[in-house]
Amino acid sequence: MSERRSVRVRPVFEYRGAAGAVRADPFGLWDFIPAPRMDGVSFALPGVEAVAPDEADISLWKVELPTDYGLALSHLRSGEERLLDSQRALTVAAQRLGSSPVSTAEAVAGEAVMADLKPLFGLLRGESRGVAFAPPAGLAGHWEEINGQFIAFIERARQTLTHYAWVETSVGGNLLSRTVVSWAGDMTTVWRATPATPQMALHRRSLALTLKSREALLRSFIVIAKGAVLLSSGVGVLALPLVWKYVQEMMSEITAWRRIANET
Amino acid sequence: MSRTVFHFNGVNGSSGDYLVPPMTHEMLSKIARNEPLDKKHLDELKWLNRRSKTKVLGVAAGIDPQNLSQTGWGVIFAQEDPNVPAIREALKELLDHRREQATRKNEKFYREYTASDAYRRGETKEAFLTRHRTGPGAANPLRTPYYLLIVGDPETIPYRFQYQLDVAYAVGRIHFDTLDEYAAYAHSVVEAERGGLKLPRRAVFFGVKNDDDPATYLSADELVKPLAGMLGADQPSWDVQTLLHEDATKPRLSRLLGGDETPALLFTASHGMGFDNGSNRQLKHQGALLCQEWPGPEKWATKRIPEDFYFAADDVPDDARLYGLISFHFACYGAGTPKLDDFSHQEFTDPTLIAPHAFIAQLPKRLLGHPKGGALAVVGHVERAWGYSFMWGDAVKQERQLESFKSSLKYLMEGHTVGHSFEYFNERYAEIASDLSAVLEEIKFGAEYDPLALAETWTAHGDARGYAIIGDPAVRLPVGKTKTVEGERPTINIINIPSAGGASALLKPPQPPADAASPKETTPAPPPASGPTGVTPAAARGAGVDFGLFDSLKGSRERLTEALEQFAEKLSEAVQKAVSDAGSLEVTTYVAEDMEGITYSGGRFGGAAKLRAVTRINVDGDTQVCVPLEDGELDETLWKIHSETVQSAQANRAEMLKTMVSAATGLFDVFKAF
Repeated sequence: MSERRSVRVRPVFEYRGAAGAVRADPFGLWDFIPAPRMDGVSFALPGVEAVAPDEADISLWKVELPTDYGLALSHLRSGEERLLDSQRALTVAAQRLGSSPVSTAEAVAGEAVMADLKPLFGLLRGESRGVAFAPPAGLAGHWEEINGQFIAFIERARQTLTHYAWVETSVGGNLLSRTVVSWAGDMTTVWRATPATPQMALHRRSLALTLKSREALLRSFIVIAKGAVLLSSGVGVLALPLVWKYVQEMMSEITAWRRIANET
Repeated sequence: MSRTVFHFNGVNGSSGDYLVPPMTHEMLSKIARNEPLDKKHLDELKWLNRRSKTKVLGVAAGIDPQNLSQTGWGVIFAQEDPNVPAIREALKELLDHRREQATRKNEKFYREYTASDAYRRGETKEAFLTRHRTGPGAANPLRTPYYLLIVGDPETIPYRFQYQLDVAYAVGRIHFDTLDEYAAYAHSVVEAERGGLKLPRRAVFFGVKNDDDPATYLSADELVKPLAGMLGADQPSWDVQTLLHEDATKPRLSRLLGGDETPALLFTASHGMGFDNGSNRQLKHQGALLCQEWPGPEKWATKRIPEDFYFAADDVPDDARLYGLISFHFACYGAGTPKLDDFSHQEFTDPTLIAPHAFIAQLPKRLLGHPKGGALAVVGHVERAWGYSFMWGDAVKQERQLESFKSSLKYLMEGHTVGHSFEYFNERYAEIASDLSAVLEEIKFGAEYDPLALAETWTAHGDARGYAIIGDPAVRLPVGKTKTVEGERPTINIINIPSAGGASALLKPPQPPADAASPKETTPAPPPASGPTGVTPAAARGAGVDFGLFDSLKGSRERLTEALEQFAEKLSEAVQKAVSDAGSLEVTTYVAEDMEGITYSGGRFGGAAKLRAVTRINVDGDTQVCVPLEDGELDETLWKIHSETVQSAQANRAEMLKTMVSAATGLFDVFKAF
């Protein structure tokens, strides 16, 4: 008999944002570390002397890699695959919202997810009593939770989009490189001495992963917005959190399906 | 036309008569036409029927039904059962074992339905699954595991729920009277799987053939004998033995159920004992197996059936060697008895009480919960088993149809789990129910019908539905590679469970809530009057007041709108800046010996950081590059890094700008639509 134990390990991919932003990464890749707000800057960044007002609330994306180069690459590859899976799942969710045909396993996941949301749509449309699903009290709490999560997601998207991204790659606990990316795409990078080519590749991939994560966040908003417009009849703006929930669940389930399929 | 064609595999122990008198097909077809069929359940049965044509059983495509880390495993308790904490503790060994197997890839694949997640009185399978975020159709282990073990008596968690759940899931049930039995069963399953129990590959087919008794003549000649023959030929690595007629006595069955001849797999076909409601033998002996000692209806007439004629739980001694057995009992009530008669042939209206409460037969309970190591599963019939269920045809000619039996047992012998093996019975149930539904629909609209065909379909429908697994559906036959092994069948040690009330004490029966004496259907209230187009939910308060939701909707909407407006403002600002600054893109590269000594101010690194390269690309393509030289030489490595960063920045800006514009457009559409 063996028991599974939950062991707390330092996350490889960390996102440090202002307190109040959504704590869970929609793609399940970045671990959110809340940072206390400080005067002039959002939180203590090493060596930061002053920033312009519109540079406040810098978002720090940290990639902590092991010294073993092969293992470091493996972590990065795993992160890239995870993000890629999420992006594929996002495409499937968009197709399902637009009634495009999808594969069997994805259809099963989609049906189950939509079954969850049906009562909420019905409730918001005033059809509540005809819908025999979860208990009403549970629905109300469920709705509040979903709405709160969606607002946090919007806040995260706002913060990510409009503020500088501070991307750091550390190897074996030592900072290898740091890049500041402005909202307009300018990049300022500092390297520890002149790095060897393999180390360069590590930070380059960390940077690319960060930028793709930012972009994916916005892409998911686009899918949600389009889906909500399609399903908004009788619900209006309240369709947004529900569609967000649908997309979230779909991404989570389809990613899990793929993982199972890949492991077998 | 009044030929008698339908016989049932049950004998009334009190009167010595058949449990159900042989019926004409006209009688049966009349019953069939009065049988209410649940529309939603039928829809799912039709789905399973369509799906079964593709040879996929139970779980969604791509999942190996033999691998618990892919299918998941769950246990369902009853919310109203006060014994759940103690039973859970007694089953801990099994639950830990299944958890470890099911969560190797995903934590969600192990579920315990207890407390608020537990089965609630009166709940249908659909309501239960919906409450657990699962729609109808193929099992999706991310929502609900494929293997589900119901823990509770059928009065608390009804057989109907089990039948319905079993259509798409692999379902089993256990219910014992003491904690000792729960712990013994858990220990038997875990030890058999972990301890590597390797029984010889031996299967015995036991067919009673009582004199002058059409039902057992048929089951012996058309079920047991051919089935054993087919499986013996199909499974050469197995020793398949057939015991028929004069060999099918009670002493012989004693040797097969715990004695020196106990095989790995036992199949029996006989009458099952039934008793009048309230009889003092009913709860103890209903479902016991009537053996060859019964001289048949002609000779015995209507005398009381003595205990010597049948094999019951009492006949399994404490030193029985059953460990690892899987047994299939084709007999009326072999698995259990419902409280109400599913087959009220007298009035065709309200079902009558046939027992004080629904229960699992004592024999499978005794076999599973045996303290020296018990059977792993018993498959049997709830309610009465139909003698013609393995025969098919028309009024002129009927032929045996053993595919479900053969396929299920073949799967079992080849190492599949019992739950997955018996999906063939679920398929058969689905197909027959689907056909029956279509015929009844046509009859309702005046179509002419063949009473015999209808009677046959209905009989087979009820029969296929009633098969149930008593035990964990994920168990499988623990056999080795040989047909024989030296020495006696192993046993395992008795389990001691610490329990305040005494583990061998009888568990308290669940107490139904005061208002639940007769479960009521939830009647949906009439829908609210339709409002004008564009009426918002907040305005449609009539339907929502009771839910306490719409009071907060206004606040939700306001918070949502505010967040969207802020997002829109920033997005618009970012797009404008990006467009206006698209005139140039700047990439700067620094190097520092001491990363701790770096400062950052006004968009530039300082302190220990040394500027090594700057590239500014203007919209007209004009590019300015600033690269310091070391001793008149260009640092090739650094230049490579810098150049790659420039390329990355260009690609990122183009993509990000495109995405920002799309997001802004999407947001605009949202505001326009709402």
